[in-house]
Amino acid sequence: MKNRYDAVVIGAGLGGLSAATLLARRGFSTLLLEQHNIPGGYATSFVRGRYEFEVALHELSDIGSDSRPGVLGKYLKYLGVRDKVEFVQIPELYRSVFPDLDMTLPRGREAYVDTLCKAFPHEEKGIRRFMKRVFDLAREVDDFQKVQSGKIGDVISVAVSAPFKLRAIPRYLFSTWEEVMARDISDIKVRAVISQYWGYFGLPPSKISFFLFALALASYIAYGPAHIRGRSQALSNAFIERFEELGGEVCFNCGVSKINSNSGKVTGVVTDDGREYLADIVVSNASPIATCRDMLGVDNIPPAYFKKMRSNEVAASSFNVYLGLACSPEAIGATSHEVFVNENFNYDSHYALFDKVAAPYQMVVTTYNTIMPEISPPGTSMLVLTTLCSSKGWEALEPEKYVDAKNMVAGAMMEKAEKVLPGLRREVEVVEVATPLTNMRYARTTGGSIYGFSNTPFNHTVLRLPAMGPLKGLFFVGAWVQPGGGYSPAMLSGQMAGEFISRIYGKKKGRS
Amino acid sequence: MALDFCGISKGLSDYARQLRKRLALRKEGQGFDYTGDNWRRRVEKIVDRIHPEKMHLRLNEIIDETLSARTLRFIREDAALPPFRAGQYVNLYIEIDGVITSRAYSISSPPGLAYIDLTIRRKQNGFVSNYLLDRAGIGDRFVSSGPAGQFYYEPLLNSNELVFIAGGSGITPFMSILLDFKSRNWPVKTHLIYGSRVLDDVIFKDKLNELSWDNTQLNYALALTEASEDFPVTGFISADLIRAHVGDLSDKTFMICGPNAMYDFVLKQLEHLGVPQHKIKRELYGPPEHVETEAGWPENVKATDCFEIEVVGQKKITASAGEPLLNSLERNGLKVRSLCRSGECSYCRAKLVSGRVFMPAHTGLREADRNFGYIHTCVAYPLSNMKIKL
Repeated sequence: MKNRYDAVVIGAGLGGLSAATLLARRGFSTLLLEQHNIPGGYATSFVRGRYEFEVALHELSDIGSDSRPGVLGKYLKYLGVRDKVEFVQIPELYRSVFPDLDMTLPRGREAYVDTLCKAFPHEEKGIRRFMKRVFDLAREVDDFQKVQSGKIGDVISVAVSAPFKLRAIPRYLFSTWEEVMARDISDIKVRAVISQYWGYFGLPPSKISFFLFALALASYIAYGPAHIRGRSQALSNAFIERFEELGGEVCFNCGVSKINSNSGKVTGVVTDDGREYLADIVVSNASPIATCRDMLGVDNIPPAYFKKMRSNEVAASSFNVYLGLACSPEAIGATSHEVFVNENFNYDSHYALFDKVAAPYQMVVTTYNTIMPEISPPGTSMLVLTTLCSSKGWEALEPEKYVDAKNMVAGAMMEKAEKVLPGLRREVEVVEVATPLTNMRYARTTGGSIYGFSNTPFNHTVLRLPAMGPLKGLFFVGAWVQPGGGYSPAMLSGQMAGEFISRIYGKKKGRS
Repeated sequence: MALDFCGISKGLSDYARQLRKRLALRKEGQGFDYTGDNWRRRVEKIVDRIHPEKMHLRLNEIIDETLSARTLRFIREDAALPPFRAGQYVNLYIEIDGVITSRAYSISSPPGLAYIDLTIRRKQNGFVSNYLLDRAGIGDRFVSSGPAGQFYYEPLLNSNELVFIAGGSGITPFMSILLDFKSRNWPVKTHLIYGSRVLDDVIFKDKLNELSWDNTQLNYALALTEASEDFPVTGFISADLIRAHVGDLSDKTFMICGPNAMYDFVLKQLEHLGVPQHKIKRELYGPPEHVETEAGWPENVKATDCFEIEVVGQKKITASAGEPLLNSLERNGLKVRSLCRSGECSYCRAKLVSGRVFMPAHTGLREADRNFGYIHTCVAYPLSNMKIKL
């Protein structure tokens, strides 16, 4: 192994994988270092008995179809990763279950809006108006992004039309989802159903950025959700294979303890076992907090950067119960991929429990067999119960009480899941429970966060920390920075960093 | 046009209002001072209390159990022992005559004590076990993994009547579990069938008798294959024996720990008795001892065949087909991370660049790893010359 590279990427999460592969494709000699023994970060799987569980992915956005690819689909094609992975389309968005309401929301704008209007005729006007806001914003952002193509025609057309078209962006940039929703919809049931995806972004509608939520929801509705044949691990492994084909070098079981810097410039990294690699470009998939605090050292970072981070809170973590059932999905009535189970219509009541170790009011029950029957052996099913919480309650717990606490929450969730899947508990063959501390253990993520910094109206998409770090040559990727948390944004963050680096360091050998 | 203009002005005033809000917020900060010492290595500090990657242990006491088995009692020197679930194991890293290797041993003491016990039995040609029995002395220092493994009683799914089937040194996790049940007063009824060769070989003989003496929750039976003065021959742990000892088998959870040969036998008996597969939990027990007898082993390769293994960027070694690749790598001084050494945990995962290996059918390899050409070296046996990447 050499000890000098153009770029070193710390962490093989989706952001790191994406950045490393793009840099390798642009001709940078790149070294990818990962502390765990497998690539993916949260985009992995694990084996228990005869089951292999998907760790994190519920629904992947922005893939689209071959004929109409989404932004992520196009990017993966460009990298040469797209053809190594098979994406499986999920036939509907989600099923939403409340104490006295049970509905399934379909893909496609018209179908989605019509379904809502049919169920809530008294709110039809408001629903249509609100969904128009959502899609107007998405279209505007889409138009605006044409500038990035660099084609002179696109730039001119955007520049000329912008003053007349750009209305939604400034209007909604700093709004919460609930603020905007309140203008059009008053029925809390409609609000709860439309906002059901909030769990995918880590904050309740009263706190989440409208801008972010609207773009994401519009993409899910327009392009439809997808999953990956062979689970997330297949995507992560495909990245590694492509990265190595492009000449990149990867090292697992290889954590980074230090980033070296000299007069405001990064110069290389030191691994946990003391190996040193020199590079002018260091891309960190670790949180900016851990990167600056632990790898670089507070003294080497301009204080202004810490101030910038100060207004950002670490986002929610997750609590997962992975279940292998010794029965077919039909036997317990599991027919939808993604079922949100809510105890009430008040999302804030669930958010109020985030910092506690307690049974949640909302969770999502995912049955992977419905879209990928082969994911577990014949006659069995593979389910995951997911809810959001912060790491605070779990961090404060006495170590001796950890197992009992996680079983208490998991047991309560399994009981609640029986409401939609009667007989579930009788059939459980394998169970594994993952808390925020589990996220911290395997991915080394600050606070076990699954979305980096919180997506508040003041810290979302373009308002997040940029890829460019506080030192020359230092870049960030992953959920913590632009464009944000989630599978697709994490991969797109790698694209943003890679594009910046290509522009600054000017190497565009363009390997194919 | 006029309408558009209204839109812009409305948009801009909204924007200005919100921008002021944002600037004010940034000025105040929200009090997350990430420069503070409480944020320093925060993740590691929290995780290490529950799941330490490594533990520094000192051998504090050696207790003779039988002629062939001893309990080594360790205390942890670098921090307090983490909590663990009765039935879990630690992987003991060890250097013997210049070879750095490791072995996983179930903890035989219950959680919550100031020490952990590893009960080790002599094995023919046991590289590590025999070293620990013959050469380890009180005061010796060791490094181990944190507690790991999934062989424990899981109240979330296991019924409250359990059947434990142990063979030889496979009794060790059950000892921990039974002592834990007792100290926590778990409302669980346990049937334990312990198979051994002769009475003298029975580990924890007195302890088990004592535990079951006045305990209606533990129904204990010994099954010996050779007679002695004090005990009649009972033979292998057969279907008849299981039924006679346990009675009604429905709605019971079976946990099995013992040598791989015992699994083959006992699993067949349970199948015969109609115990569904999903009610049976088996502990890992290292790589198969005679891999050439495993289903799927190719006829044209003998266990004694040797092949050349190129480790990309490191060196070329020779490895025999009958030995796990991980062991061959370690013997040649290559560092490989390992934990379970039974094919499950993926710590020793490596990329197979070219060549062929054999891995037993129950290896816990991820589907994507299988498709992209990765192997778990602890249960991978070379079938040809090959090239791997660690």
